[in-house]
Amino acid sequence: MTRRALPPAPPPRRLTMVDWLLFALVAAVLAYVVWRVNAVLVYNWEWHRVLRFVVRVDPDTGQWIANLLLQGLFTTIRLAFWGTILAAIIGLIMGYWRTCNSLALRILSRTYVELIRNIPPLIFIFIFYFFIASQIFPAMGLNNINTSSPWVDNAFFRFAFGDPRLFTNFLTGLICLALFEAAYITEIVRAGIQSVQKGQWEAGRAIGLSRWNLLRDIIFPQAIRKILPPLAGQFITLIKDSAIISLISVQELTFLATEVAASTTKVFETWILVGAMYFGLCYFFAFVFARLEERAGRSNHR
Amino acid sequence: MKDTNAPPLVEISALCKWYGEFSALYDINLTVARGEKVVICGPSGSGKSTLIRCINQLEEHQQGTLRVDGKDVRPGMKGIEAIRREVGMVFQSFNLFPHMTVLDNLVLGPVRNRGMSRAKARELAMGYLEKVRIAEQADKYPPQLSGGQQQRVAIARALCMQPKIMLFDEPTSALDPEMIAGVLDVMETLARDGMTMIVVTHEMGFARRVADRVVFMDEGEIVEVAPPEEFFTAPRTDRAAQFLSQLLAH
Repeated sequence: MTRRALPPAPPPRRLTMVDWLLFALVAAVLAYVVWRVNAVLVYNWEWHRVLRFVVRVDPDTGQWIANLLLQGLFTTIRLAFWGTILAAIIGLIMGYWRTCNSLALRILSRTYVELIRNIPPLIFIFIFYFFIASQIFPAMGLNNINTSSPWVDNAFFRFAFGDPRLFTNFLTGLICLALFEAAYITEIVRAGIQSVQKGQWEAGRAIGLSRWNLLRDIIFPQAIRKILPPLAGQFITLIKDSAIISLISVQELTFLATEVAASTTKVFETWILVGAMYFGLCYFFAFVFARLEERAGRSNHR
Repeated sequence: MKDTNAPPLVEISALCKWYGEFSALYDINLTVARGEKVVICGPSGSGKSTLIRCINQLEEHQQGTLRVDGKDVRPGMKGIEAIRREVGMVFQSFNLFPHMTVLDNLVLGPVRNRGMSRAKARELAMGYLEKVRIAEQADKYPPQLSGGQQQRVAIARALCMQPKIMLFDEPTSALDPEMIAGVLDVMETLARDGMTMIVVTHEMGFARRVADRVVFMDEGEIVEVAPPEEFFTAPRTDRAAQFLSQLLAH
């Protein structure tokens, strides 16, 4: 083999004059906003009054414990966790229905998706809350669960679902959120299933696989690889969308932040802090998913 | 080799199929005996693939009767899987399962459909992989193999279900020229072992060496059925003669 020359090194990535100008412009706008807030609005920044609501010292034990805002963050994380599981299950079933042979199931799933995607989330949540949750849950006896039963009054329950007294409230928000997000997951799953080549279905049928085995062994494993990235994106969207659940008094981060902002009157500090909390949470998951994707990509590259 | 007591493996009579208003298959009558090798040829769009895909109901016919191994096959029937398990199929584009190793591609059918243990299915699969001379690739993934190797794996996968008949849908059309011989070799071995085969192909050499009959189709109809020597040297119909001259011209 002849020895060939190496390719030339790529030009270094550098910021040009125009880039610096752009940065300067953005900085100027930000500076103006800060100046406006400071000089014109005459706002008295009191971060400590809001930070007190993140953690506080328990007067009885003298230890640091989570206060309202951190508790809200925990509830948001719980909502996100269970909401994702529930939405994934509903989305998987509905997404499969969207592609299956039965006309009735296709109509049902299509109606579900179109209904939810074409109603503002806020309206959906109000309808769900006032017409469904407030009627169905009492009928199911969920409104007065026995908070002292050993099923409920234990550390795991508190860790997984929060305060048992707020469980019905939490459940309402959770189902609302899951139903809402599942409509989008349905479409992701449908696209994933349809992205598997027709030949794969045919080959599976040709060796005589039953429909269930065909889906389990051939179609889903291939679809899953394609839908993981958009699914991760939808999970992060779910975290952000969970803020809307505050409107039906689920005591998650946004709801409690409203209360803190009202009681302290420190509106700017509260919302900047809460915004940072959401950002941290979402960015953390985005980072984790990007790494997972990178690893999956490497193992797929054979 | 031919068993006269058992019913023919495939009996097709007056079979029709339309795509919308387009008549894809019209009045097809064909019987394939046990151990028989039939080659189907004809211009593209003549319904060759559609016909063999009707046999295992990857396509559904709309009129006529179809019997496979003495059992009636009707469109949309329950239990079509049981019939498909007796009918092996090899596709033009291989259609191996890319997320499974070669061995797992083969093992899947027997384990899921026949309830065979994994160990036993592996043994069976390795036997067929040796038969198609590719056993050393058992642990690779399909995308790592050449087209010819993939098609041989696809043949082994179909054989793993121990079918009574094998359908080949243009098995060498997607292959580079140097890969074709290996696949045809495997198919000829299979034919010598007495497998019943229906092969859609334009490989005339293969048809001459292997086929008992050549079926010539055009515009969804069977135009001519003849032994290969007769068909290739003295076709009875003009359409067949024209097709053969085009095939030789390129």
